[in-house]
Amino acid sequence: MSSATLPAAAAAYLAALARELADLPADERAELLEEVEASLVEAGDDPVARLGSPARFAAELRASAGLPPAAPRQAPPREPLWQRLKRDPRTRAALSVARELAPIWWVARAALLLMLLTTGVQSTYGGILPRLTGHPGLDVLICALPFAASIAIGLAGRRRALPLRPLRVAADLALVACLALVPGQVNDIRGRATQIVYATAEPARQAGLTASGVAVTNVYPYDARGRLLHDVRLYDQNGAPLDVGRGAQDPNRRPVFNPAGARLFNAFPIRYYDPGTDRVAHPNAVPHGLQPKPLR
Amino acid sequence: MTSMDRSQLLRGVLDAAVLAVVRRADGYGYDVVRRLRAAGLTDVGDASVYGTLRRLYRGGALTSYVVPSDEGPHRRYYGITERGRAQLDEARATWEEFERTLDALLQEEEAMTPELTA
Repeated sequence: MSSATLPAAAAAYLAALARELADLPADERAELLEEVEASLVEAGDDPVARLGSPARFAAELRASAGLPPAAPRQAPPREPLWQRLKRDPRTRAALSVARELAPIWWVARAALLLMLLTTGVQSTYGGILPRLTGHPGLDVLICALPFAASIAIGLAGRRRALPLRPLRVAADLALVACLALVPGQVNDIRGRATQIVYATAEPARQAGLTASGVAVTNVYPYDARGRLLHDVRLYDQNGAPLDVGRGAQDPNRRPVFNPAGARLFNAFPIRYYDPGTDRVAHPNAVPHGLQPKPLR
Repeated sequence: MTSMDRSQLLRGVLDAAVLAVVRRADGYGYDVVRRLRAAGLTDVGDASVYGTLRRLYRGGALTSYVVPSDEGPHRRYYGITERGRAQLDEARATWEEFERTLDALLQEEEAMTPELTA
């Protein structure tokens, strides 16, 4: 029996029949199929049109030959979802787009890594580049390292030169997760960008009086004749009362009131009661050695 | 009669038809198919004949031998055996009795509804 002379359609039909009869003993199957060859030669190019589908032909063969029908075929087990996704051409299209855009991720992940690693660093150049060593050139080089490494890894991965692909994917996902799970980092990144605004703001205001950066806690006014004045009310250039800023807290501070009964905090010198009393022990006390001369 | 009925009839008598064809002359599978169709059983299926041949052979009603050929496939020929002849005679007897019975039935029908006769 030479099946080599059969045309392609006939050979395919024969093969399909063989599959349908696969459960039969080999010699039985061979003898059945032997006969069919002649029909196939007659059938020419379209065996299915003349002989019916291979399944139906095989079923009729079995029935008329007194053979038991084929065992009902089980549906092929459902492919696991990820395998069906893999086969889907849309997945392939999506993956190829992702692959094209991968360089964007390489840059982004390097930036993410850099930010995560330098979150403690407060001082920056221009609010963006962290100041690590103090030498701008060196810092730029150091900061460029993650970018260079990320791009190199990406390119090598693309050329399939790197093993452990799942590991790298997992690392990427972990990096994204770090960003999501640590909101503080996000705030810090945002803060970094806004620091540039604060850099030019005025120095923070401090409560109370300062003279040349030193806190003033009391003022001792003397008149032209060299006498210490009492309950002198002082105001600044805007007319605002000068307040040393400690007045409200100290319980021993001798309160001074205006005629309306409101407490004043800009009457100097500030006097303090002896603790537990309501008497100022030394109303004329001044800092040691202070003895201004009369002016005239 | 619908085609479905014809095929059921055919199934019942195919053994006898195949035996009769092979008794006249040995033949290979497709040859038997051709001769059956030439005799008037135009809608007999190739698969039905092949299966029947194999079954009759297994049952001992047919013998088979291969004729080698230099060009083209070797052909498996079937010939009738003694048992096959006996089976065929039995089939003929059964058929004739069946035919008589059915004829009688159909004639009664004809008598009762004359307008249906063609």
